[in-house]
Amino acid sequence: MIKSILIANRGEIAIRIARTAHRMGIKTFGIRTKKEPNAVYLQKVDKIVDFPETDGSIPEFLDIANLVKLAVDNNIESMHPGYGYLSENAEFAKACRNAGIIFIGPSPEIIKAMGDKIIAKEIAHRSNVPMLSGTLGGIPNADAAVVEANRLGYPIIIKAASGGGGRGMRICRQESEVRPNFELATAEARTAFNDPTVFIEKYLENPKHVEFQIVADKYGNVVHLGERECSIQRKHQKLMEEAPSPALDDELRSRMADAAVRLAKEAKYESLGTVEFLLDANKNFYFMEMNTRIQVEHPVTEMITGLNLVELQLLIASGEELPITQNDVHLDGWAIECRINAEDVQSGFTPSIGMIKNLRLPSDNNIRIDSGVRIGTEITPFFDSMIAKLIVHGKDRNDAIQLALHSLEHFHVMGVKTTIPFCKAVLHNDVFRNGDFNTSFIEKDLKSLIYKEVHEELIAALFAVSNYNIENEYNTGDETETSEASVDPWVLQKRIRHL
Amino acid sequence: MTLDKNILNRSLIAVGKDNSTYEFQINNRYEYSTKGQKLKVEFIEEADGFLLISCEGVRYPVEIASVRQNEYEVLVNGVSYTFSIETPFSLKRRQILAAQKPVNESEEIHAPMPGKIVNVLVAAGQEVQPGDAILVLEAMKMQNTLTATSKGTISKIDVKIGQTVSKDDLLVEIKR
Repeated sequence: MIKSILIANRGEIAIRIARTAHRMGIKTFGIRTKKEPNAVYLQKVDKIVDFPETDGSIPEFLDIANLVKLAVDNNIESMHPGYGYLSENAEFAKACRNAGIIFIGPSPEIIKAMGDKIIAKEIAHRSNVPMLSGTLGGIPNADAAVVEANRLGYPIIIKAASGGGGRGMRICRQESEVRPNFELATAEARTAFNDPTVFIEKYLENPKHVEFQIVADKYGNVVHLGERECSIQRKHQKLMEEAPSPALDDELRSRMADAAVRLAKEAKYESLGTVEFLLDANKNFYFMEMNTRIQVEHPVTEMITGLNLVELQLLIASGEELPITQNDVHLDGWAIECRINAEDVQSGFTPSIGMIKNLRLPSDNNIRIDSGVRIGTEITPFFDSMIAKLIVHGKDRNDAIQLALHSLEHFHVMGVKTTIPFCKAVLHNDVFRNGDFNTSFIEKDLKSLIYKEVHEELIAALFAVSNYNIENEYNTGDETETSEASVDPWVLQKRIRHL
Repeated sequence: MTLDKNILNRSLIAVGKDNSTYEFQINNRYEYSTKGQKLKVEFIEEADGFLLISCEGVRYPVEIASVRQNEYEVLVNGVSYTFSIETPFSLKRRQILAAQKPVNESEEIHAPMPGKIVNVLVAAGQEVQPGDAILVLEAMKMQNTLTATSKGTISKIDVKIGQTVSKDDLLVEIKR
């Protein structure tokens, strides 16, 4: 069993990893950076190591050389990359291996294969997993792109082989768009991913995004843990996830799960992984990509399976055999995750920066909050905007929706604006409630991005007026009367707070 | 409380961004009326510091986001509302001034948050329409596109690609 872990990440996921490692008796090391020396995650690790002084040109959690050096210098046995940052970087996994450190994730070879969409497609092809029609290899030039696009029929999408997260993609709806988009996509891919290779695929309008969680050990055992529904997205950023997906019945679930497991076996996959599929309106599914890390939305799977994914990940990295077989996996009830981001939804989801002045979290059976902040935490532009995840577990979908709404009503953050009113709007929406939605939901079905209570605007006006009234009543009165003794305690409180 | 005399039967109007108006008569600090209807209002500061407004028995969590003179941005249930607070007199004055004053000649686009300029999508002299993308500001790993809200010509670009900006820095000016 692994004895120590350097957590090469921050925020809620660093805390999430530390919690399970601690319970398993594994010593955890957290990395203190100058950008947030008092971060909450540093309180949850057994030992803190300081990130060394650098010229700052590479952000701390992307700095392969220094992260590996920290692990070596402190005699730490393994490295957990979390999600984002270097979690799917084959060079990082390789640098760890070369330094004799266990990288908690798949091998650099598998990360590289899955990170290259062309190789991933070849693996999917070999394992007989359905894909959108298109080229298997890269497209050499604009002429070839036009020929291929015409063969497939429009719309088509040009994608960077090394791309991801919605970057390096161009949609073409007619022949005249292919040449310019091929040049743009190639140039973009070269600058963004240092690899100009692009390929062409049939473009699916408004698909659903459904992904399968798999776990695989080094002995060839592969188990799937059901699917997650991730179609509530804005600009390819997931905002709310659930498990299971309302779009799947048992028959389709089992076909998709089989495909995911086949793909993982063909890739000789090891560790936690997520096979992402697109689902069209006729319930045909197509392989999109495989993620080789723990996902932000992993808790919904944990809720309905009762399994701890980080624990499984650590066991596999320690070289142990999977403690479960497919027959042990039962999907129970319904889970929903709401991402609470420090964003101003009413101003186009712009980041909301400031200090968390106050925080009140709901607590109940069947709800879980994974958060990386506390009162006093400064939300800075250096890191992503997610401050917490609310995960609820209901006995069925309606129950989960009600529980999520009820919890959000008791989730209060003061100091920054959050996506809570947005999450409420989604949960109240009839299209969402019917379960018949796809990735165009926010654009097409969500009439208002925020949920407002009846009379809320009137209350807001009343609140503004009463504040103005209290602030201004003394200015018009006799100045000598505004000694502290005569000031209303509520006003005094407020003045003190605003000092 | 002698102070209450000063505020008795005062009338205040909250004017929203879309010019919606809410007029309140303030009878005393706990009793307001609007459109002839009396509202019993109570402010509750809870032990953990959260502020609630209780109106006719229903409680709403509220927060003041910012105050600039008579302009209030408040949050109710985390939803933002902006009002300028006017007396009947100042509202009248505002309406008269608005009728006389020519429309502001230029729109200034300021940084809504600190970040890095990753793209400038317009050139000086270029004509833009409301909603046109002007530049892309990266903050918190998110790319935020800033758009024009009025029709006009780009008269000034104060930033370059790669430049780091602070909140409220002037970025671009559009001449109407």
